[in-house]
Amino acid sequence: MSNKLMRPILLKGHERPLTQVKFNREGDLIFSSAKDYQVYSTSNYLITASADFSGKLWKAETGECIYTWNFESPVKRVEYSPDCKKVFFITDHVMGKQGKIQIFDIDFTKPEQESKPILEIINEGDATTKPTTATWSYAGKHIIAGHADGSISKYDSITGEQLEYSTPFKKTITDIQTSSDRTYFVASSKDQTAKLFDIDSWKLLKEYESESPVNAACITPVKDYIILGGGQDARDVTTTGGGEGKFDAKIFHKIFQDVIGRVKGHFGPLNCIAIHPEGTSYVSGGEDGFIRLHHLPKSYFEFQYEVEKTAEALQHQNASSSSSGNEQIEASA
Amino acid sequence: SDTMDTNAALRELILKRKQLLAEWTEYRSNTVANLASLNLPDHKGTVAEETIETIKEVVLEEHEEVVE
Repeated sequence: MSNKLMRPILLKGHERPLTQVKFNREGDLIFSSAKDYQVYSTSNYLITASADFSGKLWKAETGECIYTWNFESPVKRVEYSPDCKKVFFITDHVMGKQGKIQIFDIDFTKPEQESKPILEIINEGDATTKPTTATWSYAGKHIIAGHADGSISKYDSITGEQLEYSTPFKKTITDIQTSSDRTYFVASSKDQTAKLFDIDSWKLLKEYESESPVNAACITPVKDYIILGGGQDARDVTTTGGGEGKFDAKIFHKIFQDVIGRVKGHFGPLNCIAIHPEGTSYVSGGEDGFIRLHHLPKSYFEFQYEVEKTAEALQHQNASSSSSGNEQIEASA
Repeated sequence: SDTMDTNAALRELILKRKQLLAEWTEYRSNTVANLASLNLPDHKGTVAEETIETIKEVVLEEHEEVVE
């Protein structure tokens, strides 16, 4: 897979580095946010988290702000629960305020929202253990969080109880994204790796190694791949000089853990990645201020390892032999 | 004997991949079964799909030039 096969659509709507890109559920809209904003949305509503200590609910179509939540510190991240009835905000650990994950009830049918959180998960440690990113598990049962010290944790989203905690990374967690069914997730880190974990068993399933800090990673539906990206921080690039090649998005085979494709393009680190809900395209947002929308080529979908081809052929064979078996029974009956 | 070594290494790699694939397939079928047994509501909802137009881009020729 190379760039010749993939002609991305470049979107330039931001002057500042991109911090997040998201598809809506239908996959026909892309929402993006630049420095100091985080975003989460359905097609009709949008929630942003901002460094100005606020969270805001917007009407996506008109851009009208419906509600504002106020916090004691900058807001780093926001995400709706899968049923869209709750929302969490991650607030930063600064100025003597502890980092928190705050969960609110939300009701889109009303303009007025609850200003008090129903649950607060508070970082009891110092700034090194603050939550940096999080997501909801299947049915919104848990909140999976990544922390600045490279640890990951699983909380009960009703009680806030910490159910799992481990430190599988050496540096800060930059992104956590789940599979479509939200039963497993990929976490990425500045320590140049991304790892796959099962939510229920908390088992490490797979590891992916990169040559530079990983800022974002996603699990692709349809194909068993992981797309990740990152790059040296701007301040380190000039000293290493080897910027070229470090800003590629890499496509890994999820099961075999090999790099099977690279996508060049950004002129700086990749800050965020989102996959289309149907797995047909992906967007990346860069430190360069560009959003690149890539429609995935035929070769992406056709690529298979020999063992995958064999397994698939065997499955077809079994399916057809069992169905022909039924015919024989029917014929003799 | 080099070819023998290469063949052996390749054989091992293929067997390893075969095992990884089998493990993954089993892991996924267990997870999917567990999830189904919980009878959780499906929040994905019905997505109304509408294809409006398909644009095909054909690249006829492509040059790369180094400008000093």
